[in-house]
Amino acid sequence: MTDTTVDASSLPAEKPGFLTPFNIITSIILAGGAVILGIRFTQGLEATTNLSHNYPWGIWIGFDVMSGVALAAGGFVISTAVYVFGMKEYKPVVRAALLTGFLGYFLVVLGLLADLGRPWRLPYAFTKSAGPTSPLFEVALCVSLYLTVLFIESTPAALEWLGLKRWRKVVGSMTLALTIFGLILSTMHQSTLGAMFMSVPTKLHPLWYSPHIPVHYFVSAVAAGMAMVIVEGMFSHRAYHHQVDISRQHFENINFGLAKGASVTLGVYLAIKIVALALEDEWHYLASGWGAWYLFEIIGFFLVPCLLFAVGYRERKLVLVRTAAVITVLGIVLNRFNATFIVFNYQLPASQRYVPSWMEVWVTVAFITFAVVVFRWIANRMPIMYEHPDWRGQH
Amino acid sequence: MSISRRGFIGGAVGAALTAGVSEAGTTRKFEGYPGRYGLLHDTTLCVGCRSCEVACKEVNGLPPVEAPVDDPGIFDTVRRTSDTALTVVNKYIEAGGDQQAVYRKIQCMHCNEPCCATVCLVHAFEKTPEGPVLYHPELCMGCRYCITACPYNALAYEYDNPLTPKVMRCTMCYDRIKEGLVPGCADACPMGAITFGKREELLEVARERIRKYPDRYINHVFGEHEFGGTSWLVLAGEEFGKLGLEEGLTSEPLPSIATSYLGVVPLVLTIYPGLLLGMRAFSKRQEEVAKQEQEEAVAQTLEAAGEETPKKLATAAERAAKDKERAVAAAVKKALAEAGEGADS
Amino acid sequence: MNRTTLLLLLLITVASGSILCASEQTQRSLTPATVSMEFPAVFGEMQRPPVEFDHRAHTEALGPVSCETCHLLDEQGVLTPRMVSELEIDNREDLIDALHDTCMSCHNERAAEGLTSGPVTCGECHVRRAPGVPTRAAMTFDYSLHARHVKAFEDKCENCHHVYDEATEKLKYEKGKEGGCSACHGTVDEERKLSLANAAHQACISCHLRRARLEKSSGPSLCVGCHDLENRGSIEVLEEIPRLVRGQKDTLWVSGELSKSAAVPFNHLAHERLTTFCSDCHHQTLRPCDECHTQMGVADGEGVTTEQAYHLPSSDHSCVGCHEAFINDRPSCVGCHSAAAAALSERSCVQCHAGPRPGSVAMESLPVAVEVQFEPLPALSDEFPETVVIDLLVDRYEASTLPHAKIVNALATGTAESVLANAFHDGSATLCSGCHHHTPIGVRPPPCRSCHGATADATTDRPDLKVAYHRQCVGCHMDMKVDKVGCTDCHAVRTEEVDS
Repeated sequence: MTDTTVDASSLPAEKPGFLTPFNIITSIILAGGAVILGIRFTQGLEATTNLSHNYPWGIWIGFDVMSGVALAAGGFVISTAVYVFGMKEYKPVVRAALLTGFLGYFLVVLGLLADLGRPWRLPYAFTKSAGPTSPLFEVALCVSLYLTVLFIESTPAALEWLGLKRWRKVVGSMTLALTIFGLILSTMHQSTLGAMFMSVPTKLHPLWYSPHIPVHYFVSAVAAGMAMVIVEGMFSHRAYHHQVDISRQHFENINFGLAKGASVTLGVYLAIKIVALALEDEWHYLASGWGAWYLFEIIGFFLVPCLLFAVGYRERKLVLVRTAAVITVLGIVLNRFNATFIVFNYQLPASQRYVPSWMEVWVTVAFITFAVVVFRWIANRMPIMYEHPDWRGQH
Repeated sequence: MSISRRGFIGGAVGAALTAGVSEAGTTRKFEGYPGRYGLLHDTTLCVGCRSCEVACKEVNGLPPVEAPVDDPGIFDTVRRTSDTALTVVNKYIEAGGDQQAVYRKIQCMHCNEPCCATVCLVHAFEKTPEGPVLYHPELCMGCRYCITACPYNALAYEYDNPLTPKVMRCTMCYDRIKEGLVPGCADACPMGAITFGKREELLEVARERIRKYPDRYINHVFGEHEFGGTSWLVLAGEEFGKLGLEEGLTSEPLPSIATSYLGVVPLVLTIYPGLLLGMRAFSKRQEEVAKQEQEEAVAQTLEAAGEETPKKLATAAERAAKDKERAVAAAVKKALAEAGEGADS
Repeated sequence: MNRTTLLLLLLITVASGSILCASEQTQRSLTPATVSMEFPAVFGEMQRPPVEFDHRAHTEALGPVSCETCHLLDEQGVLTPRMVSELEIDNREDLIDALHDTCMSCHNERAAEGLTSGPVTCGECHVRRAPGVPTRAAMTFDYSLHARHVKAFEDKCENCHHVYDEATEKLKYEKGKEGGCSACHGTVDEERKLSLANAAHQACISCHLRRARLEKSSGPSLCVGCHDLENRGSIEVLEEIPRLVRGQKDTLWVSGELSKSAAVPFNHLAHERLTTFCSDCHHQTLRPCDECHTQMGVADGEGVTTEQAYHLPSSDHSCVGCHEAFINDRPSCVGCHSAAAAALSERSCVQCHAGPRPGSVAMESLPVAVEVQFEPLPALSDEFPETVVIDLLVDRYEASTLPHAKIVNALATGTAESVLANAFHDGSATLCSGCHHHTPIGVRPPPCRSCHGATADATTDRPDLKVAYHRQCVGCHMDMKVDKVGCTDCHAVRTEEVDS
């Protein structure tokens, strides 16, 4: 998402030619991604990734799945706030948050399809041979259900755009049930993603490993979701300012409200991380090299944004809030990367460690680009940033 | 095995509700299949000849060993198992003076409660009553969670296979065991550093060796209790930590640790809907109260305004009526004038 | 570049430089003459690094009559380790002053007189150095050195040996009660009883100096003379060492006070020749074993019972401990005596306990010392083949030829060379049990395969034939440092499919 995004999308009505800078760059990225995926499915994972027997999971899991799910948490956070807790002032961002969430989960599925050895067997878990003891089974079940929920939750915009009033009414009536179901599913799989690492107490460094890691993952995902809504608003609000029908003041208030929430959530996260240190008496690890890395993560990417959010909220400084949001998003990615491959197998010598190949990075960038393109396509056509005049004030 | 006991969801929410309960409610402990097999690796007898590696590759139809068996250079690096080498021998302590070189063979330990099986979402691993943990490639979707979860780094993946990649690991020569044969490595070992037999008997053998030669062995059988125990047992004359085996591992099975959170799942499923609906009702009620208060406030304002208001309203109405009358009269006048003009012409 | 940056760069350079220097410093070794002068721990940390006092440099600078400059003489004019300056001070500040005064006043005086002198500024004595490893070796006395002292003193033991008489509170000499110095003298001074170091320095150095002044043959008086291994090597060793006599018998029966088992005929004389000094077995007190080691154990023997005193494998003083250490030090022994053949020692009781039962008439006369001669090997025969062909692994390897007679010969040669081995291997048939375990000595052993089958028996931990062969051969080769441990050292790889 660069300035080109803004330029191209701010003039949707004029139907510019296909060869805008944005389109050219995205086409190159997507075409490259397609070629690499072609290699992956003809030559194997070895030809495209730096995965090894010691590091079976790389950035396709660490970013697309682990981080993707966490960053898509904005959908359930905002929809719960609006529809369950009745915080109507966040209504203007709920559709963008849900769409971001849906695309985030879509990214997860794309990442999985690239990463799995035999992706066409993805349904086997439900159709052929279930392994219900696996945290991954729970994740798969919840993600597939939640993807459906998010899809339904995102349909009102499409139905309004298509003018299917009866269907729109049916979906509208399901909003509360879907929101609660979505929250249940999210609570379960966001934390279970953390629980996936409970089976590696000897491989994950004690500073990152904790019997309470599911809670860590859930709380950090809530913070990541709110941060992601702010970041997403930062780009889309500029790109679609002509569509936005709320005042600048209202929009900023939403951001400050999210900042307050994110600050508190990050504070809670820091607190439970310290409790985890104390419970396992792991203070002495802080003096080691991994301890320095841990402090870098926890201070640089969680404590700093926590304080920035608080200051930004108090001083009403949008720039601080947005900086904090970006840092939080990066922090979540770093945290998930740490568990998946950086701090994983920490005893191994440097020569055996995992560093992603350029092809893995390219494919990941291509997936993100694809999600942005789809977001643009939808936001340019459907009532995401504004309320459809016919359905003003309704679910 | 814990897997069958620890089932949750099972495709239906109802099963999930009972999962936590059934786990807590049981008073019996499954000690594992009786008479299951195992292997005892006595590192004090291993001379690093790598006959086991050669035999393993022959038995499993894998490409032959990369370096000649008597090439000492192979021990310069510590190797691990791979998709083409299901067992490898490493040298952990160099020979020197009275110290003889210490080697250890690594392979899948065939845990009593295998975590690879617990974390597999398609149930592609199976702990057989005979002891070996089997892998079913026909079910595997290739998520590689098993490789991540294995505490002994024993599993490998066919990364170079684009369409039909498999997880590769020691099978404890299940087919040979079924035929009444000894696993390939144990059969090949010239020093008898690998003994195949019933796990319980091997434990006795291991303890007897320690008792007989206390100076030769560390008084510990690795694999007896580690993470719930393994089929492969290891004896050593040097600290296990020096042989690449983690010391002081808990006897709690890794699957129990990995799935201890599952008890919370039913709570989320049961408590959330009620709690959230309650909150929803609460926030709705707050909205209603707010609305009611607003209406009341309007009414109160009206009341406070007292009787002036009707008067004002009356005058306003009067003024409006007069305005209307005036407008009507003007309109009539205009119409009459127009009519008069029309008659004149 | 502004000043702050410069300053930072400078700091980084200095810091990294000092780290590099520190890491380059290798461990220093302190000469035996170096005394690190540290505070008693009760006075706390020293402000500056401890002074490393070079005793040799001081002795050399002060010349032949140097000792009295610093050390006190006692009433008989004998040099003592005590200092001329009063340094028995229990106060930190006063001790510091006294030490500084002692050293610096002398250094100043000598400098004023134009003599060689030492430093007087703080940093010259208190130098910060990497930790040093002392190379000072404890002095040991052996039969040769003792014999030379006996000769020099014309058999007057009382010149060195004494005991403390509680009644008169004086030292006196008692014939037949001589013991090692450290039997009484410990690591620290206890009232009038000096520590071993002080007692030895006072007794040895003063005597050596006195004899040197009288121009008699004399021992070393400098630190390195006794405490430097290289210097000590130049101490003359007698070719013919006369027997050290303290009333011991040539042979005796060894038995516990209440023991009923057969007594051990013990050749004391033979053991004297194989030990460095009496204390190898007798500790420093030189008392007979059963005085301190009783059946139930007493405080004098630190609770060690008679049985343990003779059999404890971990002790340097016990029979079994010393014999096992002897075996384990020799590759020619460990081949048979390694874990695989450890059962040997379990049936070897009668090798030592070969005498009569306690209380029998035979105990009244002393045992007769017998010189055991290793009997020669039998001639090659069907019973004692020259070679054995093993063709167990014919599918992969050519048959291997075991040089049976050559192996037994090598074992016999090693045995004949050792007194201990000679005494314990009664007859060449004993050697057979090194490999043919579980077979009674003198009986023709059954073939290996009669016990070791095609498959291992996990229940009894009995290896299969292939493993039995490899463990026996390879295990022995490794223990005996025979460089034949590779596969093809014994059997060539079969390149062709079975050709005939």
